Parts: sequence; structure tokens; C-alpha cells
Amino acid sequence: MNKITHRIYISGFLLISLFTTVILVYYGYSYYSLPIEERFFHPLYELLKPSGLLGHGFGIIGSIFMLLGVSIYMIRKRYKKIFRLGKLKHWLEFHIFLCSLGPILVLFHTSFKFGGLVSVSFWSMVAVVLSGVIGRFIYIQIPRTIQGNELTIDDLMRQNTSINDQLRTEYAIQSSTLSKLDDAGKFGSISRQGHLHKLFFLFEDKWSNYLLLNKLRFELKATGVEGKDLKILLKIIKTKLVLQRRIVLLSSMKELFRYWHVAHLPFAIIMLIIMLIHVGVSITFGYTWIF
Amino acid sequence: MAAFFCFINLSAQISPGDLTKAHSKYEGMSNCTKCHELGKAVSNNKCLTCHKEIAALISKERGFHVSPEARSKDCFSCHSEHHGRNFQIVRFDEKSFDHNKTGFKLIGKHNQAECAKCHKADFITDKELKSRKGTYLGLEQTCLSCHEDFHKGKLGSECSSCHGNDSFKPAVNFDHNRTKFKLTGSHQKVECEKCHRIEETKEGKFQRFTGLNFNSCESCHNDIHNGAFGKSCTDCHSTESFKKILNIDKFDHGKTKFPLLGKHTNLDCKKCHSGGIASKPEFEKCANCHEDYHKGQFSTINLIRDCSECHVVENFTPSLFSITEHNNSQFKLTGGHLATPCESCHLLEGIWNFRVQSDNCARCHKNVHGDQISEAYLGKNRCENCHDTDLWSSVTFDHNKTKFSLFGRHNQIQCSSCHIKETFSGKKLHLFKNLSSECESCHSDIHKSQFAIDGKTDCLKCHGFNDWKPEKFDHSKTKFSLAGAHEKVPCSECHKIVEVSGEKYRQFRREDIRCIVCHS
Repeated sequence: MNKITHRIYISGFLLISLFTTVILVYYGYSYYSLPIEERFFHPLYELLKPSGLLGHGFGIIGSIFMLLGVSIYMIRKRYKKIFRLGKLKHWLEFHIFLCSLGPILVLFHTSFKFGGLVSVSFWSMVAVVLSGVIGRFIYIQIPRTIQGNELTIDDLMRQNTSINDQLRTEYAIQSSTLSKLDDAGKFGSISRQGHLHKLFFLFEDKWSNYLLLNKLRFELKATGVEGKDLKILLKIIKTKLVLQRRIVLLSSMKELFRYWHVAHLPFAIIMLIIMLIHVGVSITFGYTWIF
Repeated sequence: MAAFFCFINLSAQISPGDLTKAHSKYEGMSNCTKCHELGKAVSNNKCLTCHKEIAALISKERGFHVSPEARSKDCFSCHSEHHGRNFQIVRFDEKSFDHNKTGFKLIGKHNQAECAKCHKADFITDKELKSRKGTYLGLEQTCLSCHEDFHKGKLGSECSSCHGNDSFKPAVNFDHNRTKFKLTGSHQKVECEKCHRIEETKEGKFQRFTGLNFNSCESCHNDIHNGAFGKSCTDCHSTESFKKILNIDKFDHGKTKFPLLGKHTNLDCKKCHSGGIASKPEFEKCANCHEDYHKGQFSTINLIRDCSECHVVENFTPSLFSITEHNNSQFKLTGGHLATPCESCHLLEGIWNFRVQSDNCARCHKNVHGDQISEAYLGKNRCENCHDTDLWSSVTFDHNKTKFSLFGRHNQIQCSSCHIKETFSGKKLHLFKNLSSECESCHSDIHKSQFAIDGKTDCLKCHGFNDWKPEKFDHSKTKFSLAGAHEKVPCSECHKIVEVSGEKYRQFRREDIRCIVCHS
């Protein structure tokens, strides 16, 4: 999948999610905005109620989306036989898409009525989604191979050296500028700080890098670097700055990511269990949707 | 997390939402199957197992739930649950609800009544439903389940057989002719209350429609005849009008307070009953019917009270007014008046007049004296000053009240001898006022003024009033006194009749008294 195809791939997911959300909000706003006690008397009640043709369908399809999103990603990630079946990153994006659209549909299935045991499932789902967003953030802090395998600190150090050489030889970056970049990667005692502190540091460093890149932009312009060259050069410099930060945070992020699994997975399991109970109770009481 | 679940009341957690207040006692997992049937969602049977009142109505094919609209639906399609405590599980718009679907069509006033007017606990007999606030169940379709029995159970419970739905009154469906007492004539116009009177009872006002003795007119009508005509009103009256009398020819007027007698017997009824045959003309006085022939002449006289005191029903005349009655009036009949026909005094110029001025004889009698009687004696035509009613000629006048007292033969002669003189034409002249007291005004001077002195003869010098003899004459007081044989000689021997100028008279005045004149 080239870059444009990937963008279409990602945009498609985003558009489908947004379009679905907008359509459902637009169609059902008058119903969903009513107090619980009044909804029964709304013309769309029979369609949009949790056991209605659409409402029930939202729940079933949303649940299938989530189950599918989780299962295929897990299968792709864990079974080595299908390691070559697409990039793990793309599977993750598909996982994120299904596990975002699924909860959106489930949200409309609940008709924004949260109560009882099934609400635990719902909030677990919310927790899984939110933790997924955080996990995604932590995930990208850990450099990986194209196939999704984590890089070691040595791999990163080598990349950094490679970038330095590239800057020196291909772009004739002055050693003083290069020193500034190296200095920006010396984070002192941060490696000994706690995980929370490191998270704050992460955002702080992002801001520092932003300021530094702006400053370098002017300096490079002053030395006559312009246009596409300047853009490419700044991108390489940014890659170096991010890489330097990731080198410092690598061990912590890996550790956080392990912790994240501990949180993300149980919520998903809770959601799944209660959802199954909910589905079981519904079927037991005869609410079988179109079947 | 585990602790979190430990504190959750799992039994309540599979519920999709709170139950309404009415069903809140069934919250909890153990109660799910009270409404839900496994594998069949919510079944109507479960609902009706609890809601026996609805099941009972359905089994009786009654109420809204057996209407085509409701029958085809599941209970939960209208009465959903799990929408929160405050959810109105029974909600319908009172204004738009089609009550006809309940099997009880709202007609007439029912259409305008507020729902709560009927749907209230007072009208619900079922104890359980009665205690339900705002329920629309529990009412019967019978009128009396909501309406008070105005007739206190006397007329049964089929109110609609008489009353319509627009108003209690009038009872539009009621046909009086279906009853044992058909309304005819004026009975059709009479207000119901006139016969079906409203009575005050312990329970309040009560209008009686049963137990009326309608066979008897008297049960409603007062017998204004006080039983005089018996009890069979219909012999004379019909329902058309009380005043329209039936069998008038057979009517016995003798039973009334005014039996028909005399001329009344043959009169046409309308002559008296001009206001209709049943009208009750006043009859105490004849004048109530009869025109006062006398034009009210007796109306102010206390003595006469009614025509019947003078007249009888057989005929207007003759009158019963006799001399006796007349003598009770101010003008008592005496003398000739007793024999005088009434009309002589009371019929003047063809008009009967009984208001006669009784102290004026001249009203009836002509004053034959003309103006000869001075007011000093006649007064204001007071003839009785001289005359009485016995006889015109019988005069009781005291002549001594005049300047000319009657003495001697004057007391014996007819008044007319002096006071009436017949003229040459035969007309009698009455002379009173201007009659001279001189003797010559009545008597002729047969002496041919032989004794006149200065042209006037004073008869009383010789004559008295008893007779014509000259009793006062004394021959000795003359120039020739009688003596001797002269005293025995008849007067005529000396006083011979002479004729002077064709008039003969005895000559008493002799100038020549010589003997030779008589003696040869």
C-alpha cells in the first residue's frame, strides 16, 4: 500500500465513521434528545429503541464490528503464518476503525440510555476506546519495523548516527548546528524519572522541538537553504529530534505499553463478557432482532 | 474492579431501565418472568394475568381493548415499560381520544363533559379500581352507574327509554301515550310537574311518576264545583279545554248556585256565559248580566240593593216594588198618590225616572195657580202648604195667616168662590196674590153704590159674615129713625125697586124723607 492508497484507506475509515455518526445524529436527534420518559411516544421509537429494527441492528452490527476488529487484529498479530498478510500497522488502523465505528453504533443502540449491568459493558467499551487512543499514542512512541516489530535501543542509536552522517555529508550542516541538535537530545536525568514525569516530559519536549525547529528554519534560511531542500532538511532534523527523544523514552514507553495492555485488555474482556450476558439475556427473553 | 461488581446488585442490572411507579414493585431479576416469557418477549397473557380487570373486560367483549384498533395490538405496543419511574405507561390525549372505541359512544351532553366527570372513584364499584388514581376503568355503561336515579328506583334502570343524551329534560324518548294515561287535549301542553308533582322527601326532592290515581280527575284537578256535579268530570268536561263543555243540553243548571228560573230558562247559554260556556259569570247581582235599565238610579240608594227586590225572573214587569216599599222611601205615597200609576210620576217623556225630586210637587203637578200664590205661602212649590194628597179640593190652608181672615159664611164657601173667576172666554183665572180684600172684589154691589162714600162702599157697616142680612144696620142712626108703626112695616114697603138707566135696584138711600113720599 503506497502512501496515497494508505491515505485513502485511512480517510475512508474516518469518513465512514463520521458519515455514520452524522447520519445517525441527524436522523435520530429528535428522538435521542427526548427525555427517556417521552421517547416511547416518538414516531421513531419503534425503529430506534434498543430493541427496534434499527436500534437493535446498531447493537448487533456494532458488536460484530468490535468483535471482528479485535479478533482479526489479534489473529494477525499473534499468528506468524499470516505475518506477511499486510502491514500490522494497517491491521491496527482497521482494528481502530472497526473498534471506533462499533462503539459508535453501540452508542446509538443504547440510545444514550446508560443503566444496569449492560452499562458496565458500555463504559468498559468507552474505557477500551479511550485506552486504545492512549495506547495508540504510546504505541507510536515505540519505533518499529515495517512489519511492526519493536526496535532495540541499539537500532535507534544506529539510526541516529546514520541521520547525523546524512546531515553532515548530504546537507553540509554546520557542526555547531549539529551540536545544538545533539544537545537537544541530552535530557539529563529524565531517564531516571517516573513514568508520569516522562509523559509530561514527552509533551514538553514536543514543544521544545517545535520551537527549536522554527529557530533552525530561520538560521538555515540565513545560510541560503530554501525551498524543498529546507523542507526535507527540517524533516530529517525533526526525525532526529524525535528519534533522540524516543531513545531516551524507549524503555519507559515499552514498560508503559505493557501496563497499557493490562488496562486495555481487561476492559475489553469485561465489555465482552457483559455484552455476551446482555446478548444472552436478550435472546433468552425473545429479542432476536430480525431472526 | 471485582469489588465494584461485588457491590452491584446484579439482580437489578440486566433491566434495560427502571419500571414505572405502577410496576416498580416488580423491579429485580427474579421478577422478569412475571412479564417476560422466555423466548417470546412480553406476552399479552402475562399482562392479563395481573391485569384481571382488563382481561375481564376483554372476555366480556367490552371496553376499548376489544376495539379493532386495540385488539390487533400487543399490550406493550401501547403500554411499554422500562422507561423510568415517571413514564406514563397509560397516556392518551383526553381531547383526541375516540371514546366510541370503548363501546360507549359519547352522545349529546356526554360529548361535552369533562372526562373526570364520569371517570372518578365515586362511580366505580370495584374496590381495587376505586382506589386507583386516575383510572379510566371500572365504569359500567348503565346510566345509573354515574347518574343519580332521580326517580328513586321507581321507574327501573332503563333511563334511555325516556331520556335522551342531550339533556335530562325533556325526556325526549318518553311517549306518554305508551302509558296507561294517554295525553290528549290540553294535557299535552301541561308542564309535567303539574301532574307529576315534586315532593320533598327525606332523601330530597322527588318527582312522582308512579302511583298516580290517574283514573280520577280530582287527583290532579280541584273540583271547583265542590262535588255539586258528582265525580264524573268527563260528563261535562273534555281534555280539550275545561271551558269546553260537553253535553251542554243535558247540563243541569239547577245544581249550580244559580238555578235557571223564569225567563232565564230559555236563554242561550252564551247570553250569560259570554266568556265561554265554562266561564263563571258573576251572578250575585242581576246587574252582573243585565244592563241597568234604570241607569244606576238605584245604585246609590242604600234602600235598593238589587234588581230582584223589585223584579222577578218571570218578567221584568210588573215590578215588585209596592206602595209599602215606596213608603219606605223619602216620598211616602198617600192619598191620591196611592192610586196614581207609577208612570204618572216616573215616566217622563218616555223615560223612567225614579230619582224624583220628592219635595217639588210642580215636577208632577201643574201649578194651576200660576203666579198667584206668593212665595210666602207656596214656598218652593210646596203645594202641601194648602193641599193634601187626598183631594185636590181639600185645602187645609189657614186663611187667617193672610190679611183676610175668614169669618162667618166665608168659612163655608168654596175657595174657588173667591179665588177663581171664569172669564168670558171660559178660562178660569186664579186670583190669590192680587185679590183685593174689598168686598166688592167678590161681591156685587146690589145697592148700586147707594152707600158709597167717596166712591167706596163699606159693606161691613151694615152686613156681617154670617148672612146677607144687614145685621149691623141701625135705622135709627139714619136720618129717618123708625118708630111706631114704621117698625112693623116691611122694608120693601118703603124701599121700593126702582129702575134707573135700565138697572133695577131697591132704593134704600132716600134723600126725600117726607111722609108724603111714602104716604099718599
